[in-house]
Amino acid sequence: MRADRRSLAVALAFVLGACGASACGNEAGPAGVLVVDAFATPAESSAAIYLTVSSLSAQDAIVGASIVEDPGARVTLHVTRRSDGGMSTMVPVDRIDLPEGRSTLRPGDAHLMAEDLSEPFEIKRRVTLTVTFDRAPDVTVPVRVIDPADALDQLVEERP
Amino acid sequence: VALFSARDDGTLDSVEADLGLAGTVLNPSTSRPDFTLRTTEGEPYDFADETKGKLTLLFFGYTSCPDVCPIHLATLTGALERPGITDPIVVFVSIDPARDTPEGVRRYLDRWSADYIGLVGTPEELKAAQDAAGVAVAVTSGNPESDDYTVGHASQILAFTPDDRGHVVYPFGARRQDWVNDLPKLATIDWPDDAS
Repeated sequence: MRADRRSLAVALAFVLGACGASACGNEAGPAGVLVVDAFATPAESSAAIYLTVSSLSAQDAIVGASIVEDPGARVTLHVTRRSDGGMSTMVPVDRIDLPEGRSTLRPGDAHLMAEDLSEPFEIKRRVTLTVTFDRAPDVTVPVRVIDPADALDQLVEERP
Repeated sequence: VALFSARDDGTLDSVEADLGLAGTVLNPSTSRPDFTLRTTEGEPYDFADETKGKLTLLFFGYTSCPDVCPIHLATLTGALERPGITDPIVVFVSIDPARDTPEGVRRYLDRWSADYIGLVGTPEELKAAQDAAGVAVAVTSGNPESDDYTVGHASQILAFTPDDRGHVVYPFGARRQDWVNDLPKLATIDWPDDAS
């Protein structure tokens, strides 16, 4: 299990923006986002997708995504907000801002939501996601479809 | 875990009692809520009566919830699949009557267990159930047929113990090991009197 995760984490797509590598003099600095991991839970028509990303710039954001195998599926951005009273509300957002460095779109927090799937997400089904950023170029990564009972165990950082 | 008991002068006396629970202990505890909804098979279900004296877990959610609900339920289910684990009654109340049919709720729960009880009701009945359980009443907004439909709901699982009190809740994020640790204790703890 752990070995699987490590080997997947090596299947990275790390892209430096054209500006970052050249002398285009963007004041915001280099743009580039590394998608360290992406996973989803099984779903019939609406699936939440979670990412761990590492961004070179605090000015970047996720602004969209699509599923390579299912171009008709709509992928929207959501944040699940929780109030003190335990109320949980999933709110659609235009962008998910990324801090510089590593961050996790985790269950119960920010996530991508794929809707109108032509085929259900099933465990071990191959799903490939293209993520669009505000500044960095698109990144295409495999998404692991996992048992939702294991979803919280995927988070290696502190508890949500 | 700090439990408190009332002194004669009305002030609270902290009683350190390490119950070793991963869940959030409530003080004061709540009573087992009294409400009646319908099961996914169409039968009336009097929650207080049907679950009286039994360890019960109560969760308010909806079937098209892709994030919190399936992970919370699946994590619990993962714990209940452990051999020898204490077996509670699990009750899922759909708070999205505009979209959730009884059949849909049944199918949804069967992904985890045919033993999970699914309840449905009218908006008024559901509000009464949530009020009785002391949770924030779920709100829906937008057109159920459209993309801007949003649902807000209480995301904690409420545990009611054999003394017919609610002593512990499990916010989203509870891990399988938390359940494995807590369920046997919930079934057997002799709860000290609380401030209520």
